[in-house]
Amino acid sequence: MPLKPQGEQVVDFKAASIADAHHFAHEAMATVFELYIVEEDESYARGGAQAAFAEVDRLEMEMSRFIENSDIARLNSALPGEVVEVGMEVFDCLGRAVEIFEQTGGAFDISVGALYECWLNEDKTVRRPSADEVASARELTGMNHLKLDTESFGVEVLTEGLQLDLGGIGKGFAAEKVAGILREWSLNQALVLAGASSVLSVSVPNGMSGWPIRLSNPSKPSEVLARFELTKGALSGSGRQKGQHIIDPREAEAGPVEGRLAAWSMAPDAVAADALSTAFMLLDPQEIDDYCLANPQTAAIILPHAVSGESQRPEVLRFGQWHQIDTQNDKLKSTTKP
Amino acid sequence: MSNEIDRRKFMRSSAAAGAGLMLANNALGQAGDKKEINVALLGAGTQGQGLMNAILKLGRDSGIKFRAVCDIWEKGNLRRVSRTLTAYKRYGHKGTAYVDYQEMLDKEKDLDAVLVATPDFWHAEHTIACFDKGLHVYCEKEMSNSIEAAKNMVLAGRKAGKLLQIGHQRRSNPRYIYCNDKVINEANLLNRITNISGQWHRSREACVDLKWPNGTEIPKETLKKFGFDNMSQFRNWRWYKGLGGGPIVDLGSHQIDVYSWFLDNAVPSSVMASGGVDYWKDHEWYDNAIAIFEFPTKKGLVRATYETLTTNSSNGYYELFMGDEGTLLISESAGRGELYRESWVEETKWDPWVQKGVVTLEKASVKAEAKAGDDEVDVRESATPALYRMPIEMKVPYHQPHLVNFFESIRGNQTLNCPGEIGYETAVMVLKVNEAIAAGRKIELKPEDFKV
Ligand SMILES: NC(=O)c1ccc[n+]([C@@H]2O[C@H](COP(=O)([O-])OP(=O)(O)OC[C@H]3O[C@@H](n4cnc5c(N)ncnc54)[C@H](O)[C@@H]3O)[C@@H](O)[C@H]2O)c1
Repeated sequence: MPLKPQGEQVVDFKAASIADAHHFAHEAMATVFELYIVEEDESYARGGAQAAFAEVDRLEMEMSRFIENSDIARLNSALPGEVVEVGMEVFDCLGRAVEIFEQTGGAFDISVGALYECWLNEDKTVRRPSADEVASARELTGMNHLKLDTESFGVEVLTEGLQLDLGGIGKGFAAEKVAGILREWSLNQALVLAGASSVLSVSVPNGMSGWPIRLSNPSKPSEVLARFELTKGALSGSGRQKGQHIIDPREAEAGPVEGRLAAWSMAPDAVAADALSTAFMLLDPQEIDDYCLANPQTAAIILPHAVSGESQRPEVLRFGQWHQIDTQNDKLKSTTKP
Repeated sequence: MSNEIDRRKFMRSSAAAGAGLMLANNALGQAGDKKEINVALLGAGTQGQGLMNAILKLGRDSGIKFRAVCDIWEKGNLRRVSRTLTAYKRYGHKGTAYVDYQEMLDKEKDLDAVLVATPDFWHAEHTIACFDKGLHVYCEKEMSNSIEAAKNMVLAGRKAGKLLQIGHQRRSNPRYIYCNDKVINEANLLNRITNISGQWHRSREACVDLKWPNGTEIPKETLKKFGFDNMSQFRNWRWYKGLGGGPIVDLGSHQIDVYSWFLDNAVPSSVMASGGVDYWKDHEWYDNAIAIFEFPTKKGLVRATYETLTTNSSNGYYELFMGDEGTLLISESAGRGELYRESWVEETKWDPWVQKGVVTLEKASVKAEAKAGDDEVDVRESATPALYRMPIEMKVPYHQPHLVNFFESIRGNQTLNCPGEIGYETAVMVLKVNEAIAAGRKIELKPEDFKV
């Protein structure tokens, strides 16, 4: 999934401010998972972190499309008519992906890879595909090509060649599983970071009002766009690097565009937050506003394309409950409801 | 780019062929013997769950039905697995939970087979109890922590007339089978194998002692009854003498098993080894070990080294077979497999196998070039060898083919890929490594040492 930044910080947690939280990190899913846990017994906290990271590794083996016998790889090479039995977790995750696909009118789409492959060269420069190429890529895009059998854990690919990629939702899914394990270990005062793009609060440590979070401009990390405290639920960010293109699967013919610089989403769970930050890169402001109204616990901030010649301060649009949040940032020029 | 597409197209069609094969197998299973196979899981830890998941992914029509699960960790693994099996009720699975294996074997009257995935020191007692009830057994490696007990398992299976499959799953992995059947035996691309090396390097992070969630402790009496001193020893049994065998047994066993397999199941005539508790505190077994085996084979002696570390993960895990004409690197790690032609061997010698599609040429040999200004090529610098690949993928969950081989053998449609006799040979090879380290000398082995 080209939208999820790997290296740069889109969401940044200010660790220094939680002096007595233990920090654990683990490389998985092409990123680094980090945990901040407030707990007296360091070695107990480490034990919980170890159990949580083992679960992330196990999920990666099922979810990564690069691992030839993962559930997703098996789906990606399945033929129509063949039912692929996936694990319970992958089944759940696919279900959520389909649900968010529908809620966002197809903007979040785990099959969008076909369009990227059609429109971009390997070095990510834009190519000019033939009308046929575009048509066949379109035929491989959309959740209508996937059939989840709700009576089982069987999944069927209805069109040969469908390529699924959980890159835009899997890390959020794993973060939720991590939170579940930390709860089992009674390590509730914890924060989960899935790479630089998602954070999930298990619960806020005693004596703190929330986890201090910073959102910064992905193309200029020193520029902090918002600061606030995460008290519950999850927050995710998506960003576009300079020169990078994005494709709106709803408007495949239009091809790659430079589009928005970044988008952040807040949602009750990390699965939704992760997927929505991708969708919010694409939905227009009215659509985002509608989404946040229909789903009262979600919020969005978008950083539209910078217009050259304008002032240094980027214009930021906020939606949902982010209207109420005091971002304590004098540099932030926020627009009220569009 | 277009090469990549061709490769993927090829993979797709070979995957499709694989799927066809699976269907044929299932059909065969039904035609041969309609009987469903009722199984119980004995030991529901990391590996027990891996086996269970691989079976669940066979789908609802596999004919394999879980009836029960037994594990002494009631508030931990037992609960977790019992819940999963209950979630698969619609597939016909049942997750009746037991703490005591004897109670399970007494109460579950309609079992056909048991999957044993308890710590090594329990394998013999569990396996033999299952044979006493007339059940087939899939038992995880290491077969046992004692050579004597491993022998008794084979004898008990013979006496009961039931199958014993040992969990060296590479023996059923299509990638490994391909390397052995096609690359080594049919095409003989390595020619005379003279040496083998292999390793499993595990990071320190992956070897830190396991803990348990507060409130899930096993009562002291139960722990004692099942042979554990305390929770920490229970969670980290592989490091303790009398319970496990340390990393050489835990990891090395899989790969040393492949050494023997790819040498047409040859057994070594000697082993020497070094190792120690050099890094980890409170561990009884050697945290790193290096072994050297001598395998007499029909084609001559093969000297093999093996190394396992628990402090450093460089280069991960793989087995490397070196012949005088080529080199094969294979690993269970998805997609890791390479084949090299020695640069002096004419490309034309391997071409027919490329034409037949047995191997694919990925990168031709590059001749060492004269440096600018030099008018002579340095003859000591040999050309980089040509890289070939095996056009075969492992497209199903780990452990699934080995389990299917077990079930199809019960149905009479296949024979076991790793029967107790083979598992025994491997157990002797790896348990002798620990013995050699303790003795501080080379241990000579006779063919009889590997016979039950
Ligand atoms: N084939 C492979 O690739 C592979 C991989 C890992 C482990 N293994 C093997 O699988 C076995 C289990 O290893 P693991 O990593 O799952 O260990 P584990 O500690 O995670 O699991 C062992 C389980 O057995 C239970 N147990 C212990 N004694 C018992 C008894 N007497 N009755 C019932 N339950 C009992 C424990 O409660 C625990 O849940 C070992 O023999 C190991 O060598 C094989």
